[in-house]
Amino acid sequence: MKSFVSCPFVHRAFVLCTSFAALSLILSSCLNEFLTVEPLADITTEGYWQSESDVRAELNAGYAHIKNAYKTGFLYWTEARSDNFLGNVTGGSPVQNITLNKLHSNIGACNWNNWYNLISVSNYAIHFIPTMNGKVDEYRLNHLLSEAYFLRAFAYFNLYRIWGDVPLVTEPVLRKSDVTKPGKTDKNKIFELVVSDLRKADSLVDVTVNEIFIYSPAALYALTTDVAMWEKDYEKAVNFSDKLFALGKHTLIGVDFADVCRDATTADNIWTLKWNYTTDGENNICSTLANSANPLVPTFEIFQKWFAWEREFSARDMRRVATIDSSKYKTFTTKHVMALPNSTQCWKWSPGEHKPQTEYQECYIPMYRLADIILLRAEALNRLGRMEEAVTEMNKVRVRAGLPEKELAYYAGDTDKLEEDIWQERQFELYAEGRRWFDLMRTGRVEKVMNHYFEGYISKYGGAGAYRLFEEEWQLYWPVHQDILNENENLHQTGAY
Amino acid sequence: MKRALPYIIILLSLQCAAQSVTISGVVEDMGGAGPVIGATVLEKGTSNGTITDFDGKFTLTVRQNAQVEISYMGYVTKTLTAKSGKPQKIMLEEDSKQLDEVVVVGYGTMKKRDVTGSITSLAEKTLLENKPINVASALQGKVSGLEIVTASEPGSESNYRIRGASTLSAEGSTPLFIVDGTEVDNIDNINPADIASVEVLKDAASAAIYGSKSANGVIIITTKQGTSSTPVVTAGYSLKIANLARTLPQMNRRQCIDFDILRSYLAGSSGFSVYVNDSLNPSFGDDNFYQDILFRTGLTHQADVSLAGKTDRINYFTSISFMNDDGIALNTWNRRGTARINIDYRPHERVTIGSRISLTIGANRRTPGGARQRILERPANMALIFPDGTYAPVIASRNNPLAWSYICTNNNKYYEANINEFIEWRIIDGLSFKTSIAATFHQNNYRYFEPAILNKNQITASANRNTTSLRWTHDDVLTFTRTFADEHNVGIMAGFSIQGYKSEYINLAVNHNISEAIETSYAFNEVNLNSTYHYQTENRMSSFFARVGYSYKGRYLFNANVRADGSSRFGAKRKWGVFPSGSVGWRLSDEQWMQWAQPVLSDCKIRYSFGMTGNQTAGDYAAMSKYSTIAYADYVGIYPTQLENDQLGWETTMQHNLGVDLSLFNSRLSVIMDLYKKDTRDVLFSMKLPGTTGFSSSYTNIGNISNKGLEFTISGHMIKTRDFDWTASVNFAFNRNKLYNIPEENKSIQNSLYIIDNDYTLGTMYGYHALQIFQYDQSNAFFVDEGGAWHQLTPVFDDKDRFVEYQLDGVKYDGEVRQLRYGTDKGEIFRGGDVMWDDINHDGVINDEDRQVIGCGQPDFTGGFTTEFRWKGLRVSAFFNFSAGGNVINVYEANRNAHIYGTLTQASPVYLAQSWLAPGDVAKYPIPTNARAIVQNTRLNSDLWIQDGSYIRLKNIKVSYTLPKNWLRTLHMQDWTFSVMLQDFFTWTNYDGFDPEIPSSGFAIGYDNNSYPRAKSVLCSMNVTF
Repeated sequence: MKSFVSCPFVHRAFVLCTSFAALSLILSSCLNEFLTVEPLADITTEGYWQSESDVRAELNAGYAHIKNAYKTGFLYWTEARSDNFLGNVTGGSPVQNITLNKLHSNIGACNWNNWYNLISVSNYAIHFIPTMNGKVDEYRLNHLLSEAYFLRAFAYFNLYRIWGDVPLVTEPVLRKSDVTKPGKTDKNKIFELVVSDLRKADSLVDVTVNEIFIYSPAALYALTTDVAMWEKDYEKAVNFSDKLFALGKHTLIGVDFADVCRDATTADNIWTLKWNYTTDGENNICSTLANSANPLVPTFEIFQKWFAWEREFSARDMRRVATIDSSKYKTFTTKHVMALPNSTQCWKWSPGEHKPQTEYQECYIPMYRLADIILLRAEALNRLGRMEEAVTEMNKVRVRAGLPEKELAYYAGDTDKLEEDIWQERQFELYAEGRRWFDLMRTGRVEKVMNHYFEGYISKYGGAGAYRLFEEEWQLYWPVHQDILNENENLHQTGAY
Repeated sequence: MKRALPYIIILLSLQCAAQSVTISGVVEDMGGAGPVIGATVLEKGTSNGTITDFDGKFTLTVRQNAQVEISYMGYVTKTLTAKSGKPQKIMLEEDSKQLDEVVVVGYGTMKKRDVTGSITSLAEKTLLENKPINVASALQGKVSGLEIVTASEPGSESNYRIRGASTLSAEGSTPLFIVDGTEVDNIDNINPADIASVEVLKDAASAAIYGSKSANGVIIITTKQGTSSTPVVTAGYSLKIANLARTLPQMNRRQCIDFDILRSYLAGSSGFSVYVNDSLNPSFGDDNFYQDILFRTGLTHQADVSLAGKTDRINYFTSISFMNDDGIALNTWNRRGTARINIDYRPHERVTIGSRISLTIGANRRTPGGARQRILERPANMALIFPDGTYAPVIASRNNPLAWSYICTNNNKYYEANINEFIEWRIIDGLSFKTSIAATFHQNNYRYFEPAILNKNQITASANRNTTSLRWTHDDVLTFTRTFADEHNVGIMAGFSIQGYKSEYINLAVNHNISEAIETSYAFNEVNLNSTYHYQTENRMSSFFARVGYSYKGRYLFNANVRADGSSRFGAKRKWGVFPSGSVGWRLSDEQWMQWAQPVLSDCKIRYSFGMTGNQTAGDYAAMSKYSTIAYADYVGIYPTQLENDQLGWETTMQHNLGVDLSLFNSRLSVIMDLYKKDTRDVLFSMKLPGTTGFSSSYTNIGNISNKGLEFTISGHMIKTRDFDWTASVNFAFNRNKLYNIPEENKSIQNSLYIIDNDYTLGTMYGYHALQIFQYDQSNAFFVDEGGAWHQLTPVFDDKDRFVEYQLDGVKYDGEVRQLRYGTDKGEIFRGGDVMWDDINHDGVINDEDRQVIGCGQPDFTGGFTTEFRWKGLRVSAFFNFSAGGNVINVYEANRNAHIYGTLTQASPVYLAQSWLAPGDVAKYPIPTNARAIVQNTRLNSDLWIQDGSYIRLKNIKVSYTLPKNWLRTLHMQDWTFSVMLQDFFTWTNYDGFDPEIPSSGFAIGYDNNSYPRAKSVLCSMNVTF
């Protein structure tokens, strides 16, 4: 034992242990510093919302969400449900159930999440922009805030038109504890928010801004006009279209109709969704319309209507030539609803020529065009009893289409007759641009027009019994996707889907 | 080992007074390993002795009738009485008790005898017996409670689970891997021939020394070290010949035309796609069976050489190995070279300096995403190669899988260096200090190139991603072990560790490459703003840990661990977590009052342990709010994608383990049994959020999971003679788990199928139960009795198939007829060919309320069975594994037979043959048309797609032959073995997908979505040792 104690190793051990302990102490005081790691490449809320470009980038994301939403369902929500298109039953992605009013909750387009992503982006901006006072010029902040309200209104306006009652989320979800599972809010409340958001946007907008691919005062006025028509506030619609005209930036004169989609940056285009294949991926909207495999085919009815329309005025409607390939007229068989005629496409994005599907990957989508607003204005003026002005507005569109002007006298004070004509102009002018179904909804004609279309046209051409008639209000709206219902038990399915 | 015999200095002392005899003989191994070289032959009670020579022979002069002891390390000592006469043959029996066997535990070693936790230790011999090509195949089936699912795809990682899933994220369920004391991310690149031992720490008490990362158990790998003073050279070569184990039915050209006609007819359309039937159209003229075209015989060559040895001051082991693994899918491969140098140097008798260096360089090409998935859905008549020899482009949105296999670059190159340097100083006997620094450097260069012809839109694309990561660890460990008064064994260990991890990657993705001759992102027109960026992530950890062990006479054992971890991932207030554990053991067989059992009971130990372990796998910055980029055309956008979660806490697991180790009949039969209970609290899970939040998911502590289980292994050495041996071992693992304390907001159904709710087992499938397929439109007719029960009516038809009347139990029924509807009471009425779902609430409406438990992915039990026969140098062994009672949802068949897409999505001909096609059909599957999509006949969450996933698989059967020792001796070799093994050749299962053995991820257990098909293979190998 003696040698054990005097062993030099014990001394070394002692020294070692002491230094080990000392080292540990020093270390532990440094440890908390060592254990703090700040992310380098991640953006957190603390570091964000400092400059104008921060807000700009955040709002840009909103357009990416619009684009994703459009990819999910634009054609299905709008054109496919109307009398503009027939859907195939056996192709790569059968859409006949949509075109024949047989929606079910497993269709991808039942998913509304992209719209809520846009709402989240807007809510964040609405929440954080006011905290940036002093960091950025006030008038710039106001304009950005205006854009945030505009985007939120646009999202809810679409949710309102597609699903009706939807959850109302107006506060940003900043942290996990803010997460809720909201139930549905009555669609009228949703619409109220759209109206009030647009009002706020109007009070903040910078009228000098001139943009086409993102928010501009013109886009705000166009959307507000559209919304006013749904409100049936025709004065307001006229006022906002006046404001749009007052900007003096848009005109139909000198704009070839063939260019309004092909090159959606003309003086007719107010707001256009830009598309870049590399970042945005496949443009399935335009390639579906131009696809030779017939996912969606213009109805035989639209051909007939258009020819009859031209015969009535003994003139050629330039829009027909630029929209549908009339040489396909002969390929419609008597049973064509089930066996669609081959290669019948809407060529609005490449008028006069069929291109391979690959050529449509970078087409821009017009969101609002002046012609749209002019026709809405005509409708509003007509409703206000200002028929002469209404006819004047409608004629602007007709003249561009190569049709003779209508005389006020022709209507002999029959506002309904004029309204029918304006609606018909809208169907032709805005064919494939996502207006027809919403127009039918807005003007309360779905049951009349669509049931007539099913029982007349569809039954006649081989689709008897394949459709479901519009009988109840809930059928106007889309079912909510099953996955969304699974995530949130406070939601219930639309109507009786 | 044989050469590690402590050399005993022998003094010859002839005792002339007594009569002496000279005995001679040869000492051999009872197991047939040949002569035992260097065995000690000693006259008992004297120092008179000798050792056996190279041939196992000895000669010794002793007193008449003296007791002579023949001993050798690792063998049972034999005593005989000296008699003059002919040379004797002395057979030594291997000592299976091996009291001094040591197992590696965290930061140290422990005698196997003294282990009180649940640790499975595998030595080199067990690991390498089936010539594994990687660690996963070496371990598979050898450890009860360790589940490994290996994929047949070259270069893909294997999936490890110890004692079931206690957590829900895939990454968070992986055990901690420690190689030579250093944490590594994966163990796939380790050459199995370099491994000396593997320890699997299963219970908390064993694993808790690794604290916050140990909740899923720990796998410790120790690489080899030289042990013999003569250098030993080992070389091995193996060749594996693999083929697709099973093909799935696919429609041929004729069937695909018929399918098209059928679908058109069912949809009410007269025509069908003409192009499908046009055999002169070069795009549609083929009749391909894709599984034959896209799979091949894959050859894997593996060669390794190692050199090991030692001198007074140096132990060394060095190896190199090369592997070239060609997968069974066309143009998939993995090539890997590894080198390892392990050196221990003793500059002073009390100091060891050690170095463990391993280097890996490799490259692989894997199947590009989506190529495999579409194989069975692509119509057989679509062309792959045009008559002019060019590849067919995308036809009707169906990729050309052959072109994807050959001309799509999807390559990785990887470089890895592991360096571990240490100094160990044995300060005084029993007290030592070890300090080490270790680093793992990993570089992966990924290159992707997609020529225009592969792309639907004829646009070229390429991408590059370079990932660099560095993990470093510094440990200081002080160990003290002492035995006092021969009875009290004390072991104390204390240590400190800091570690850091940093990973960064640069991603570049471009489109419209200028030239297809340059197969990389060199010249291009557009950069993808969404995928081009640099990213970095980092975490750090610091820990203090200690262990105290005490045993009294090896009979009463006690161990305690504690570890305090500080992690940069924890919020400021939760930076430190403390993970204690303890265990006790009692060696019953050493008690006096158990003496009577001695002849039968060689060893019996009861052990109990408890401990707390942690899990922190939630990303480095999981509690912070985060934003991500998203581009809109050329406008760069940034939007919030991760929610701040200051409530996010860390997952902890409390585990209890009760075990018994039994060794019977002189260790011929051994039983190891463990009973455990594992409670995981605040399970971390990336929970899907309601879409209305604008966020897709967020890490959440969703509630608790409890796992209870029983594992046991019985192994026996049934026959043990010189020339013939028979051993067998079977292991079983039963695991039951349950979710509990799930707060209301976290109850949900994930993947539309797996329910997360209280009292459900993880992996419970929840959905609709299909009762039958309605035979006729009129079959949807029911009589509802007073009790509310629904009774189906039988429609009766006349000889012209016109409906006449309903009957109930053979009697005409005139009462009210009720019909089942989909969704609501105004919903679609089910017709003939639709599925009759179980309407559990009897309201006549099939909706969410009719969902019920329709299956569970978790097996009732799993296990393995191994047996080996040896006759002289010839060995035959077989290893089976099995899993019983788990369900598998065949998502793959559900997709291709969903009929919600067009006919380009080809159905399975077998499923189609069992589908309802016309009124009156008694079918298993519904009408194949999307016109009925409105009633969701083919919904995924139904038991139409759920199958029994039980299987028994003969994982491998092996025949090997070792040349006899005397032949080897003339060749100056120690060992020369040839073997042939069949792997995965026989599987007995009712499951009709590629493979019932499916990797699980979190809650998605038994979810078979397009797994890589399993290969069956023949493995031939040869090993030599000099």
